Amino acid sequence: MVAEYAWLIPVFPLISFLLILLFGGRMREGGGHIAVVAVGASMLLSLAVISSVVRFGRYESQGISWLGSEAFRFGVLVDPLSAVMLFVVSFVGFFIVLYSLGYMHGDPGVQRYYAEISLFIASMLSLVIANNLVFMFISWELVGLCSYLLIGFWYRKPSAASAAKKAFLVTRVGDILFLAGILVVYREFGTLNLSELFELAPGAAQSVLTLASLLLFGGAVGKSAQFPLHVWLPDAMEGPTTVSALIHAATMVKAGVYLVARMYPLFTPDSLGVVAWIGGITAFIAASMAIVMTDLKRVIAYSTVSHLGFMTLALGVGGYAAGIFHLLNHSFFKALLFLSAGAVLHAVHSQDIRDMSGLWRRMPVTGTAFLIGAWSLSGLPPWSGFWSKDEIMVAVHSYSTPLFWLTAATALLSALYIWRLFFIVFTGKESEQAKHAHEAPRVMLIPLVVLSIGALFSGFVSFAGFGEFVQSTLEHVPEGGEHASYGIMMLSILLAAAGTALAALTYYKPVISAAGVRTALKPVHTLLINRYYLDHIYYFFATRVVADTARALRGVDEGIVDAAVNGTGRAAVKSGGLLRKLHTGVVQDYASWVLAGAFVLLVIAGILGGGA
Amino acid sequence: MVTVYHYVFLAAVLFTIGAYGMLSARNAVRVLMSIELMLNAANINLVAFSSYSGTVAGQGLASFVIAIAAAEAGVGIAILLVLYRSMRSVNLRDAAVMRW
Amino acid sequence: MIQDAVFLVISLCAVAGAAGVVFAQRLFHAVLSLALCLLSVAAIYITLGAEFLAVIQVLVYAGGVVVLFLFAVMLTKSDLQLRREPLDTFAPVSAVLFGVLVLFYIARTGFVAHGARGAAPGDVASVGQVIFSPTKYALPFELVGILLLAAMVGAIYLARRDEQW
Repeated sequence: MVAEYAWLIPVFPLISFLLILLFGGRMREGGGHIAVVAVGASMLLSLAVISSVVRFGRYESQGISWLGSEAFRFGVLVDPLSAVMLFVVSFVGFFIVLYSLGYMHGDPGVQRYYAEISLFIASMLSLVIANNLVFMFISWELVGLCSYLLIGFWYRKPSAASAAKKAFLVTRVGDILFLAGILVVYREFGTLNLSELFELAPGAAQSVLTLASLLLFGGAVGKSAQFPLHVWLPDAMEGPTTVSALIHAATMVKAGVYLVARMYPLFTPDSLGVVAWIGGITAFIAASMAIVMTDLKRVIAYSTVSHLGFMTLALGVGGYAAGIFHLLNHSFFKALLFLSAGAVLHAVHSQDIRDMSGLWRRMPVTGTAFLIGAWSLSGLPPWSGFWSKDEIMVAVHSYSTPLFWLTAATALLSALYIWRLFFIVFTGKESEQAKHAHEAPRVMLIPLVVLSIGALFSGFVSFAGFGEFVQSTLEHVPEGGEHASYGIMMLSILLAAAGTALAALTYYKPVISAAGVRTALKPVHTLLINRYYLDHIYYFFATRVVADTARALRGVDEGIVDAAVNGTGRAAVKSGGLLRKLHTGVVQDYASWVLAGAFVLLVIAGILGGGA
Repeated sequence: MVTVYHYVFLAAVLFTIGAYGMLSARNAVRVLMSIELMLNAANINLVAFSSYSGTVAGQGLASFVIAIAAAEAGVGIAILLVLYRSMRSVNLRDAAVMRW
Repeated sequence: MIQDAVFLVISLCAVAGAAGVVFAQRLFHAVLSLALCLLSVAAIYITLGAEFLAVIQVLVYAGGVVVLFLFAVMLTKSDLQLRREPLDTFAPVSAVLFGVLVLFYIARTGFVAHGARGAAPGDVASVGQVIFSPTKYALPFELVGILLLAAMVGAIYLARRDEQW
């Protein structure tokens, strides 16, 4: 059956990577067309595999053993969860690569771009079908590498280079935790194969499972930019907007959420509690920061962090299907928002929203796309965002009340920040830059249209049995998730509407003065603009704590180790200097020494010999 | 009565004097003569022990020592003559050239 | 009694001669002192009953070696200088210490060997038996002969005048 060929899915983009690397320089658009074809092929094959899973259920391949060890037997696992991920990655990926043909046209580094994008998509695809923890980890690291390369794509720009470094270092912290988790798992279960682990998991001790799952979650915290490792994502916007859309909205950052979902059987109620709270806190603080940022892409980036928090939260409270559902929807509307933002940036040549206003007149298609994305994100019915956010809120409500109110506040803020963005950029009087704006080329508009359709209608799959389909990945259905209650549904609509209204009143028809609020709540505003001072804390830690410790240790190393080594040398030289004084040149002195030696020997012989 | 210890004591005294002379003399010839003294002291020891034990082997050994001592004195003086030719003096302090 | 006195006199002569070698100001006097010492040692040998050895001592040492030293003194003109250089302490101290050590060991034996002199022969035949007998010291004897040859050749070669041969 088709699923047997699932291993080919990552291979197409991998071949594309190699071809572009070798021959892309001689081709048009740096070989971008190859990338489009390759990802397209992966997409078609993914769709075929999905239908196979729907009809025949999960499939796992034998795999090949790497380095001749059974622990490293890498194969393919396709079940409902990986089917959804395959779809998201290949579908959104295909349209974004298509969009790139227009967006990256004329950039001197296009060959490098398409090669790195191909490698990224290949790694991401292999990540979601891997059936072995180490295989997953390898793909995970590759994904991180491509992220680093692509964030720092315009490497001559210092801010880009340093943002790439920051991203890599912060996610590295998560990666180490992930690796530690793998070690704990292997030590406890003796295998790294996912199916075997899921069978053994119920029989293991709770404490070990909690430890292992929390360590694995650490990796997710890094990759999916959860608190406190979220600091890299906003700065990752230094890369091209298509990169931001693909990697930092639709796919790579979802890897962490995928990891938690994939390893769900290993999670205990304790570790899930941690997951839920971290998700909830992340969602809230990211949303709070989004309402004050003035860089177009940064607002959308914080929104991504916030929604990743929602997904994590959902998984943590037991809303497995809800979390994955939101993952699907979010990929569509977030990619849509980024791509339309890309079109805006392309036209206005500035990233500061204070330079933009009244763009609707000249960029109606882009404006519509952004509108659809915003409508979906804010959770207003009847589009996709509403359905998944509602399911999440239901799940949280049955889990914990304080967490529920936190999530409710976040929902309100979500609507507020996204509509704020829309009203500022697209409505009002045309700004200076807006007068020179023009609509994007067709290559860029087609993906916008497709993604818009997705953002509108992807929510309806839940009526087609999406939830049950995803849930069937798990053997044990988690608790929680009382059925959709109308009370909560009303509440979520109310929150979204309130947020939208607030935004409209402040930015569309300025009844409330934004500047006035800012002055009134100055301390809050300062806290938010400074990103809760987390970056400052990390910087302090790195320069003072780490660097000073390193300097102190260097002092120890030089003072003790080097001193010992050099001291030995100096001692040898000094003793040599002293000993050479013995060579006086006077023969009788030498004879005296002989006599002295004989004396000593006689004494020793006398002592040892006794009375012999 | 004269015991073997008398001879051993005599030999010790002669040896000490010889050692002292060897170590402190400036003239090389005096050094060689002191060495002869030391050898003789050893010989006295040999012969004394041999005699008081009733054997004659010590005397044989002593004659060997005498022969070798003579040979060594001869070679030593030959070396001294060569030294004298280049240095015009046999003062050992003047010959302290190979030093630090 | 007589023996004790004789031994004492001879010992004093030997020690005096030895002292003379080391402390005499003129080297010539030192050589003569050496002769006195060596002859005294020959006398010691006679008191020990080693007549043959005493004769050898006189012939070789007092006869040959002393004359050799006289030659050395004359050829190196060492008798002419009367320089007195300051004494250093290291040499005498080490020598004396060594002597003390030897005496200490002697004392440690506890003076157990009280006996009188054993009846050891000292005539030529007996010594010859020891030297030439293959079971005793024939081999060392031959080696000493070779050594004498080597020493002779070496000395002659070292002390030659011109570089012709």
